[in-house]
Amino acid sequence: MNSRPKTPTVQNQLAALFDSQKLKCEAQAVTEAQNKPDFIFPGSAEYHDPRFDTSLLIMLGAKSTLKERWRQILTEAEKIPRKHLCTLELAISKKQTDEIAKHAVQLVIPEPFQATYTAEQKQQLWTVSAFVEFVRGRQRWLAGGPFKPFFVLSGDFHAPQWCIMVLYGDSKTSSCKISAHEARPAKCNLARQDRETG
Amino acid sequence: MSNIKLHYLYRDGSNYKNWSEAVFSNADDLPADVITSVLRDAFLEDGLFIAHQVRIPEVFLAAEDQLTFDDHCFHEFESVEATCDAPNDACRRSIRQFMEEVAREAKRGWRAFNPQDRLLPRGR
Repeated sequence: MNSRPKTPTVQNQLAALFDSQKLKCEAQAVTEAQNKPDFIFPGSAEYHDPRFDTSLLIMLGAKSTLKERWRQILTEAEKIPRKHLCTLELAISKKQTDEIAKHAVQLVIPEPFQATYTAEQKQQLWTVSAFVEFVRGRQRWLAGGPFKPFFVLSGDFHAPQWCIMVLYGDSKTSSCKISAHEARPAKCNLARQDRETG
Repeated sequence: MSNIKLHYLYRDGSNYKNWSEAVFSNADDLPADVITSVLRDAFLEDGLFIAHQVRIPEVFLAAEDQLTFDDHCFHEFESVEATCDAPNDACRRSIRQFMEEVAREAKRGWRAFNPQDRLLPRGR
């Protein structure tokens, strides 16, 4: 056992990163029943605003390790069905990554740490950079920025279908389903289109 | 007159948390910023303290066999706020009495312990 807890560096470092990237977020904002997730994007005011489009809310847990306690995040923000969880955990089993994916949790793992995961597992992981871009895209849209479509692939590689959400600067979300074998090329094409229109 | 709600938590070494709160009466109408300042001065760095020393409920994440390397004995002060909620302190203290108790315990020293000794049933 540790005799004294360390400063929660994962949460602090992510907070500093989000601040430097000018991403609007709130740490330990109250959601329901006194739950306080590590980060809510853009913040608690939007979270509790019944007029705010809940599909634009993002929750991120920041935990050094996963252990069995990762399930704690599942109940921390009822309005956000798909949670994100950033961790520094190395090489957890495929059984556990599958279990996490099954609970609609997207793992966010710094790129160097992903080297300890299998190729199959890596397909399910996001890097911190990918997460930052994901948030930035949504917040750019929220800010009414220039017309720039961006694309979010959700679901997991083992699901029969992927869902693509397309967000535009001047319209609401549209979505469509594509099959798993289409997902990878679609992701590449969409990423290219994103760069070209950006 | 408003009461004072103390927000505190247990946070393990991996940043998993368990939140709790205690409501104290505040007949003296002490402002929240003064209370915060006094408590922060008495607690350890980062607002750490030993919950049972100041007689508020411990909210460890682990129970019995589930202790991990990340577990420790400290709780963490988060904030205080004025509230209309009814006092729920089991010792029926006012916030002033609680502050005095915290200051007294800080002077005596926060006594770290191995949570395993406290959480595991005796004789195991």
